[in-house]
Amino acid sequence: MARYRVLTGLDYPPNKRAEIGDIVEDLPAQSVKWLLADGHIEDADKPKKVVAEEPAPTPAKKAVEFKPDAKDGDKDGLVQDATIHERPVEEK
Amino acid sequence: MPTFRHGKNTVVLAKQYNISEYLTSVTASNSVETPETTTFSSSDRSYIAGHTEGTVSFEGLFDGTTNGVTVGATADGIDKILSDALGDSTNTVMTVSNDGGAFGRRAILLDAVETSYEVTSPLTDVIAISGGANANDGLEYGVWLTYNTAYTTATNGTAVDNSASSANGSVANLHVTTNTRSTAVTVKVQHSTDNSTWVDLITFASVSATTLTSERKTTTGTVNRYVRVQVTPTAGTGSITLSVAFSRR
Repeated sequence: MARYRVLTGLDYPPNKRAEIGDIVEDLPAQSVKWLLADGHIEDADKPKKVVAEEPAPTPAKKAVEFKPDAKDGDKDGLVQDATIHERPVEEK
Repeated sequence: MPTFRHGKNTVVLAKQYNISEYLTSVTASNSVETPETTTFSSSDRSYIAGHTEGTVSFEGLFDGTTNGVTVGATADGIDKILSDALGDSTNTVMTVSNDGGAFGRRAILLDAVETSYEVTSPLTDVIAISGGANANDGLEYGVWLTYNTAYTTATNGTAVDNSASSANGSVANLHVTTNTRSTAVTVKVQHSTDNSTWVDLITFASVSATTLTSERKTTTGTVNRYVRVQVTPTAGTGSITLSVAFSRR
């Protein structure tokens, strides 16, 4: 018997109530079509639609003054880290 | 054969009050501005529909009873109700029914902003009141899903058949005018395609024990062919008397 996940609270005969998230398998046959079409239920045996998470936005780089003699304080090979002037350490 | 109605059965609900018993006249007007679009080379004037504007005006008889002030008073009279509403930052949930208060009768729903209130004392007659309100979002024409009905148990209301679904959302006004329930009550509007299985469309805020209240809620999108009200008191005692008007957009 088909099983459906309830997406909108609903009442159905005889005097039954299903809340959001309930799994039901005794919905009236004549109601299933329009409940599916209107998005009030979904097939419980199909995996839930997973909405892909958007990648976290890259933090904006700080607008700071350009320092020609900037030093690599944290020894990561970059100077003026996380700024618009971030660049590799120049070899001397 | 037309079905005519007598004006004596007109009802007006404002917030949690049935103010019909104070009023002698009410007029609900709706209009739309029609900017002119006539141009050179046109032989006839032409217009285009713009914004609609709804207003309500009313006249009635003064009652200065004030709950908590007037000895023996258990409810406010019309003067307190309307003077409080004037300038109130919270709009008034208002439903006017020239068609009378009964299931399925026509009702006009509005989110009223009161614009005027007058009290007139004639030398030789009853003190009178009058006033008016603008309808925020305009007037909406619908029907009563239930009117002034007392509920003590969970009840599914009778279905209103619109003969077809609609696509532009809806609005519903709830007025709780009497409440002796000892526990909370849930009021919903449900819709259905087959008049058999019913889906929640609008769920009003839970009505607390003995609380008188009103609420207006709107929806967007599809409203199925059949609509009904559902009232569900949680276990307890007492009754709740309420009215729900509903309009498709």
